[in-house]
Amino acid sequence: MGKRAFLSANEAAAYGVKLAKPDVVSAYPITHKPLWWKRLRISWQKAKQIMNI
Amino acid sequence: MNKPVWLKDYVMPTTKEEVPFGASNEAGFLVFKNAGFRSMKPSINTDVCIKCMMCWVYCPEGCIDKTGETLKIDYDYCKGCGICAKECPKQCISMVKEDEA
Amino acid sequence: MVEKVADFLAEGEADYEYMMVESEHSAMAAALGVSMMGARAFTATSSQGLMYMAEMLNYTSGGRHPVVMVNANRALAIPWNIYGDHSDAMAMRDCGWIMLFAESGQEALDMVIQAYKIAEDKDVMLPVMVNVDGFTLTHTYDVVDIPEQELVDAYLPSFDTANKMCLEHPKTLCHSVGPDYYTEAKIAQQEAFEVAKAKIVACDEEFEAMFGRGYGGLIEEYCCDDAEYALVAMGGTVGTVRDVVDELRAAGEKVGLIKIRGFRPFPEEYFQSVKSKFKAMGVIDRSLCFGVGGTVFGEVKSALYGSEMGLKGFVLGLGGRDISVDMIKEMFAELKECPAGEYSDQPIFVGRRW
Repeated sequence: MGKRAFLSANEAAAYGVKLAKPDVVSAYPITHKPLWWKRLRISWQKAKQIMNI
Repeated sequence: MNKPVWLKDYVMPTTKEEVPFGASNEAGFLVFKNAGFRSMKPSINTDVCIKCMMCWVYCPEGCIDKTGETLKIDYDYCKGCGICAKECPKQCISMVKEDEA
Repeated sequence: MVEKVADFLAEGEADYEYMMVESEHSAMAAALGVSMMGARAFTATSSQGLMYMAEMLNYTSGGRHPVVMVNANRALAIPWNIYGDHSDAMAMRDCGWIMLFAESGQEALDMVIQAYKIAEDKDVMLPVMVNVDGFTLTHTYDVVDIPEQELVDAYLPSFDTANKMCLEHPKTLCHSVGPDYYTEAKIAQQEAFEVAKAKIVACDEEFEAMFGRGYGGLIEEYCCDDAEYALVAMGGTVGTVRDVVDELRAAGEKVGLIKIRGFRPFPEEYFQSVKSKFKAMGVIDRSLCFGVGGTVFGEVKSALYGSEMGLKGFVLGLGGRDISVDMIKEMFAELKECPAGEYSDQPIFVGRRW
């Protein structure tokens, strides 16, 4: 009965959540490092514009 | 007027079942007078009042009742902040000490 | 794991609302707000995130809102550590949440479904934390049976409560209160925990009847009927101890395993029932209560009040250090040397470097 799959406990718990049918899932995933660098680069470029360098 | 009602005959919980579940209960009422800490209270001079409603707009507590012929203040809820007296364009609201008539 | 939850939404396999918020505190506040509107909420976190939402955990449990959260047990900083141990959940053991610990990915899946049934029960109405060992369970792969949606729908009714905000019956939620009534509110919460003890077992038995898999409710005994020495364990470690018990039993030793599945409410009645059963009992702790000793050891020891068994508190696996088969054999060997009535007043760190 059911479907068998090769999963990590993270994924298994996620299936559990899907089956339980919540109305809302709220999440704070960690800030991905490349994204963090990109945002830092953008703010540095803006700062350079303002300072005219 | 649409504001919380003071249930004067409210009895505080005496049994386990009466304690509000999860600290939540039916909205729209107060269990005691919410104005006991006032030191000055507003008094409207209804002869000068032009019914501009500025006091009604500015009152942070919604204490001014505009449903009648003249404006009335609900002294069971008024906190005595004095904003109505400050905002009245005709300066017809005066703040008098609490124990004066 | 919220990334996988988001994947389901992206692929059209699910249709919940997904709120990405700016911090874990906001995640729990959002889940609480959702629950206050009478809808079913979910969130997930780990170590520092759990600490960040600490205040909101008390809000949710005190307001009696049945939020379910998966907590990937991960060590707490400092030193900053991304591997698994139980210190984050243990730091929050007094927050008023029901805490269950999963042994495997399969159990984690089943536990999330059971958690909603326990939490939303009208006599319980407490939030549930499903604890899954960080890294050793969350990031390792195993075969898992995914149940059918229809069967889950038959097991888990939709969420219905009066403890919510609605226009037809306006409510004030989460009052403040003074010394005159706070105690009574807390007593009501404590009583709900006592009710939860029976409900956790009942929900598990019902799950077993419908899905064919049961986990024993709060406690599972393995080979304890004639055991002389028993180890108490929680989380993924249980699986390893099971293998060691099998190996030692094959060699003729009378050893057993006690798995604590429900940590809050604590199964005190069970421990009182076995207080004269074994010669010695050891407790495996993956967290440390500084100045006291192993966290679970303290609770087990107090539940065994009046016992004359030897008791040993082992602390190991901190910060993701591997709990090996040899370490478990070493612990059983130490239990054999333990005289009756002796308990370890200092935690015994197994596998320490020096």
